[in-house]
Amino acid sequence: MKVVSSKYLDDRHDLLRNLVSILERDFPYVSILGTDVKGKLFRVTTTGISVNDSRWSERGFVLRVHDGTGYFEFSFNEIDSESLNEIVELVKKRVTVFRKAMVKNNLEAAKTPIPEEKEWKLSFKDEVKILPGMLSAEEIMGRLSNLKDKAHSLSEEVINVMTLMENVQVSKLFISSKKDLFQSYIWSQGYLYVVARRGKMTKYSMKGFSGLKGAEILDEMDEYVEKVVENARMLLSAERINPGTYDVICSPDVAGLIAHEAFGHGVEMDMFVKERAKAVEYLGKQVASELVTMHDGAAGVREVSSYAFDDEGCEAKDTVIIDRGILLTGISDVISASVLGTEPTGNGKRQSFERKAYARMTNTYFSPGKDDLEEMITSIDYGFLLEDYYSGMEDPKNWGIQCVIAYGREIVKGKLTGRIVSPVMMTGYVPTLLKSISMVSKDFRLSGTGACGKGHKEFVKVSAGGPYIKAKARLG
Amino acid sequence: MIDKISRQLKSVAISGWKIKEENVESEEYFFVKDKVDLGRSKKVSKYEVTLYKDFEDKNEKYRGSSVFYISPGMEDAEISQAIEEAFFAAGFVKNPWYPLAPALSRKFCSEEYELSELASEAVGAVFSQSKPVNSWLNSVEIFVIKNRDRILSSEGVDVSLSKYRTYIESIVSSSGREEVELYDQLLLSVPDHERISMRISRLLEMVRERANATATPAVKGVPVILTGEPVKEALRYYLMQSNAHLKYDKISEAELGNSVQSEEAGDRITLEVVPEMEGSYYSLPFDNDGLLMKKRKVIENGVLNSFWGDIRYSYYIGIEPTGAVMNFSVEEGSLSVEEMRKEPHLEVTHFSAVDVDETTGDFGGEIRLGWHFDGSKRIPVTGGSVTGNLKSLDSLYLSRETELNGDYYGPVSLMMEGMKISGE
Repeated sequence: MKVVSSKYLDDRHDLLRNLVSILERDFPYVSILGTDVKGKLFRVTTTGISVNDSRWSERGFVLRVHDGTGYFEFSFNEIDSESLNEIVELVKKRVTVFRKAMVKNNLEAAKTPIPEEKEWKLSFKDEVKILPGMLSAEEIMGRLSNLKDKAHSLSEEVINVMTLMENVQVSKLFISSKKDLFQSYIWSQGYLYVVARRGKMTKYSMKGFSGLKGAEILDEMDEYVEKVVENARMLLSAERINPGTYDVICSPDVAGLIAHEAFGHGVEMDMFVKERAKAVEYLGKQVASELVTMHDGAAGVREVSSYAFDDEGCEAKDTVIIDRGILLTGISDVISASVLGTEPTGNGKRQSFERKAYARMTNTYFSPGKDDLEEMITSIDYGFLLEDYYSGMEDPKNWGIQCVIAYGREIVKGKLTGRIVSPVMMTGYVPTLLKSISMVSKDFRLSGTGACGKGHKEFVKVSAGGPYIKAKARLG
Repeated sequence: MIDKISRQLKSVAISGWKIKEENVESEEYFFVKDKVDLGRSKKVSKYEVTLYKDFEDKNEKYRGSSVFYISPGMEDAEISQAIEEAFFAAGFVKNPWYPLAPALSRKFCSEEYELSELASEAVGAVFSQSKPVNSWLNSVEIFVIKNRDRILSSEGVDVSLSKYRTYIESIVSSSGREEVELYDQLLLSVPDHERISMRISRLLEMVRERANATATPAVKGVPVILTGEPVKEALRYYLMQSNAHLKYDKISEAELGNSVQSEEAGDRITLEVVPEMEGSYYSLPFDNDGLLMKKRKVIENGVLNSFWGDIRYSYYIGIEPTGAVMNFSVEEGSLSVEEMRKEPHLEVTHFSAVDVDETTGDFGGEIRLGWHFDGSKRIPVTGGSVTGNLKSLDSLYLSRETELNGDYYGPVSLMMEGMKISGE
């Protein structure tokens, strides 16, 4: 079913165009992004229930002006025909104050070229199977409660269960002198989260579900309850790993985490501008095994970070970052592209209209290969099959990597022994890890639950994934 | 807008309501080296509405609720629809009954400042450093924010505050064996020239150390000293074990009168939740329910004295609420940092991220900057990781030296045994 438009943005379209026109009298470049993001979060736990608006909800505007030297932005969320001139005067005043503060502190402004835009008009509305609102809160809570009850019924060691579904409709409007763009799409995510306890040992397991989907995501959750309970109980018997370097097979979600943390953050091109990215030294060079091809793009696949245009009004693309082991390019926002003299890649994303746009990942993944998982396991004399993860952290300057992996299944002489180690910290030097990739499976899976930060803030939706990969990694 | 919302709420048969109004203004500066890359400014108003609906089932009282957001410019019909949807949904939110915050009418106002002047001061403090050899500011983001919040409820709460907050994110770089960087977040109330300047200066020194760091050795059996940010994150585990919500959810196994620490040797933790801590970004007099918050010593000498938490979960576990306090302090320990450093050890100030799991007690992080002391030489190290579990430490010592760091005041260092170190 077609996603419905945003009345809020539709009603303000002409007013926003007028605001851009007025400001263009004083500034050589003006654009405005309007956002109307609405969603519901349904959560059932063993100890409580909640139905709230999604934390991703937002409604407002961000104006971007170029004053001939560089950019200034103003975020606001109140506008009507009476307040139009007030906003214009406020923006002009704030730009002046901002420039004066720099002079007072003897600091210079970076000179950023004025962007050259091409004419582009677009109105895009995506489709999902079940639109939010078509299932009642009663029905959704009932289904989530059933999942929770089923998890408890499977074991007395289960002490807490959380089942969650979140549906979010994103509507965005971008206007500049040459662009007039509108898009509306829906993403959803779900979680099954089970905490198990045996004696003094407490462990948990989680399974996420995501996509450009509506409430149909609930159908996918049903069949995984047993698996999540089984995993949580399995972790109760897990041991700590002996730190060392091992042959490993990474599941698609762990491979996705590596793609995201190892290379994704390192090729965000605002890092190139800041000289924070080691990747710059390796453009055109081999950084990974020939089996590795890696993409990022809002246009390549359908997941939570697929869209028609980014938060700076640039068309979504499918960027090949690594082609058969060779680092080709990075991903870029508008400002970084202007400074570097490159083309923006549709990766300018904001946490909300209240925040700055940065070069951010969208859907980041390794391409599938030709191997079978069974063959990959058989090829290992001693190592681990690494599955699920808790978190990851990037280090674009020094290409370090930190991935906190939920558990590893021990492999001895080509067979899974049943011994589990948990949690597993994977660290190391990114090219060493990627160059060690020796097998890549035919599978392909993406996951877009949670959020990605830049440093420790600026959270946006992304997805990551790929096939199973075999590599050598330092675990602790 | 508040009148508009409360008028519409009163027309529905709800059991209670709460409105949180947030007005945020900010001045934001983004620097690449010492050149400003982008300036930003913000003026935003938001309304978070919670609607409560009481009902009974099999003689048990329940309190359903639903939260929704209203933005300026929303029309009456849209507000009305949001209320109807929340009212319907709240009927299926079958949570045990709990009280709402009692009536309170008070205004908490800070001294008024011109936001752009505060921002300019913060910029000045960051760039006032003498430029050391071989280390520099790579990029800085400065946010100076003014919050004006008000909470009203059907129970007669009408509290408001104005507060300034400063956030400075710095990346410092240095060249040595190779070019390296360190990341830092400094959170303050109003910009404090001396603290900003000292923090940046210290960072510039530390990144020079990282530039000359060698790979972390795979040492066994030495204590790990944490200094700065990781200390706060490790001690937050104990704060969360005393939280009413985690206790109610059975995640925390802490029991009143029992030790929250394992059988490890060393110092016993004394921890207090503190609503208002001078200079803290997170200090607030009241919480999101409009409840006036209280200080409470929840852990004393390692033993759980009391839980802490918001009104709902405190009621569920049968304690007086402190409110959802956002700062905590930990009393000083028995060793000076110098004493901790006397024996062979690995000291870490910067991890890529400190991962502390409040459910399992698992601790881990990749080392960005640390020092290995083998009994004779103290060498800067990088790479590798520290992993372990806070429930199974062999020893834990806290430093006598203390510092304010974001939402934490307490020992600047801690030393623990029982962690695994991976390295080369």
